[in-house]
Amino acid sequence: MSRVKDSNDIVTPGEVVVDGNDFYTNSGVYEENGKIYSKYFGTVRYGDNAVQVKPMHGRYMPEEGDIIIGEITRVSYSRWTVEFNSPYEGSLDISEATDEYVDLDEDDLTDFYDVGDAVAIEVQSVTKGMDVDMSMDDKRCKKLEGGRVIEIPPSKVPRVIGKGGKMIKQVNNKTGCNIIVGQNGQVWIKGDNANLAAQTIHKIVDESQMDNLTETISEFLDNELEGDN
Amino acid sequence: MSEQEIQWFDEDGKRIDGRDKDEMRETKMEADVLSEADGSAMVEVGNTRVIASVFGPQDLHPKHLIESDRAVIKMRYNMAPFSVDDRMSPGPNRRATEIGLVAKRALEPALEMEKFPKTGIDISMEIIESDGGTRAAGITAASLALADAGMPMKGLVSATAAGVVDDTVVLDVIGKEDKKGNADIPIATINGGDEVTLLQMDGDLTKEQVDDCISLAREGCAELDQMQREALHEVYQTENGGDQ
Repeated sequence: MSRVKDSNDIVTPGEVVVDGNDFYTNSGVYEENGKIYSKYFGTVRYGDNAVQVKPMHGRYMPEEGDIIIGEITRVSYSRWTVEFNSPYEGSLDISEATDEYVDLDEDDLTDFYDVGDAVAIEVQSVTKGMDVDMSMDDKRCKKLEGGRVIEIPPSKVPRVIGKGGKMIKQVNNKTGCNIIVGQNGQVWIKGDNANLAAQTIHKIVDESQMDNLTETISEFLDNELEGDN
Repeated sequence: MSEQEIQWFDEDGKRIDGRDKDEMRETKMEADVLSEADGSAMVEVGNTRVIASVFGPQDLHPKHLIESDRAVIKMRYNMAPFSVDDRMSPGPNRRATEIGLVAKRALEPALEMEKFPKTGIDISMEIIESDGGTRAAGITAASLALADAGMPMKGLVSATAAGVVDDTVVLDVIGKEDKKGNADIPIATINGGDEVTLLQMDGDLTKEQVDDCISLAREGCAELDQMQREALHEVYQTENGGDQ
C-alpha cells in the first residue's frame, strides 16, 4: 500500500497523502508527479481505493441537496434573497416557495417571508459561477418561528448530527427542544431548555475528537437535568 | 565607505549577532492567534515580528474589482509606527504598496482561486517590529494564516532572504546587514521546494554570489516550511484538548 498516513490523521497543504497514484482523488487533494497531495489543513480519509481531505476550518460552501438555516435579506418582485453565513447568497423563487397561486401584482410577498425571517431551506442547485437557487420543497424546510440560532464550525456538523442522527436525537429527546442543524453550521433551537441544548451542542463541538462521545453527552445531560429538579 | 568600518565577521567567522553564515535567526511561529479573523498567524524571526490575518472568501467591494471566475486578493502590508528605530508616520506609502503587491504575487500561485468566484480575500500583514526580512516574514505568516482559514492551496509558501556582506554570502540578513551590506535577495518557495514565487534583488553582487544566495535561501525556505507545518499541528492540538 502506498498510504503514508492513517485515516483521520492531520495533514497540511502540500503534504503527501499517497505515495503513488493508485488511489482516486476525491475532494481536497490533487495529483502531481505521480503523488497525491493535500490541498487543505484538515484530516485525511482513506476509502478502499479513494482518498480525500476534509478541511478543519473554512467557510460553508453551498452544495446541492443541503438543508441549511438562512436569513431572508431582501424581498424582490418574485423572489427572496437568502444569506447563510457563506461568501455567496441564495435566491428563492416564488415557484419554489409555495404551491399556492400568487398574483404577483396583488399579493404581498412579505406575507410568506419577510426580511429578517429565519428559514430552514434546501439548496436546490449551485452553478459553476456560484449562483445558488433555493427551494422550500423538502418537508424539513420551514419558516423558523421563535427560538434562537447558534453557530458552530461547518466541519463539525456531521459530529453534532451523529451516525444516523443519533447524537442530535438524544439531545432533542432529553432536553425536549426542537433542534434543526443546518449544514452551514447554523443550529436553530427552540424550547424551554434551549440554554442547556446550546451548551450541549458547544460541548459536542469542543470534544468532537473524543471516543464514546454519545455516552459522555448522555451522562452530561442526565446530570444537568437532575440538578434542575 | 561604511562597509569598511563595520567588522562583519569575528575571528571565529561568526556574524555581528553571533550566527554562522548559513544559520537562520531563532524563529517562532504560531497560527490561529486572532479569534475574529478566519485565519491568522504570528511569525517572529529574531526581532522581526509580523501578525497576518485573513478574512474571507467574502463579498468584495468595490464591485468593479470582482472577477467572475475566481477570487481576488486584497493585500495590505503595514508597518506599525513603533516598528522601526525612529517613529514612522502611519499609513500606506510607496514601499508598503509595492511590498503588498509582490507578497500577493508570491502567494497567488499556491492558492486555488477558481474555487471562490466573485469573492474577495482580505489579507493583512502587520509589522509589529522590524529588523530586516519583514516581507519574507510577512509572506510566511500570510501563507500560514491562509491555511488556517481553510483555503485550498497547492502548498504552504515560505520566504526568507539571503544577502552578501563583506563579499560573503549569508542567510537571513538582519536590518543592519540589509542596510549596510552589499546586497540582499528575498526568495519565496512553495512547499520549500523547486517552485520559486518571489525573487527580488537589491544591491551589487556577482553572478556566482547570486547563485549561492538563491541556493542558500532555498535551504532556509525548506526549514521554514517544516516549522509552518508544526505550527498547524499545534493548532489542532489546542483545539482538540491539549492533553495529548
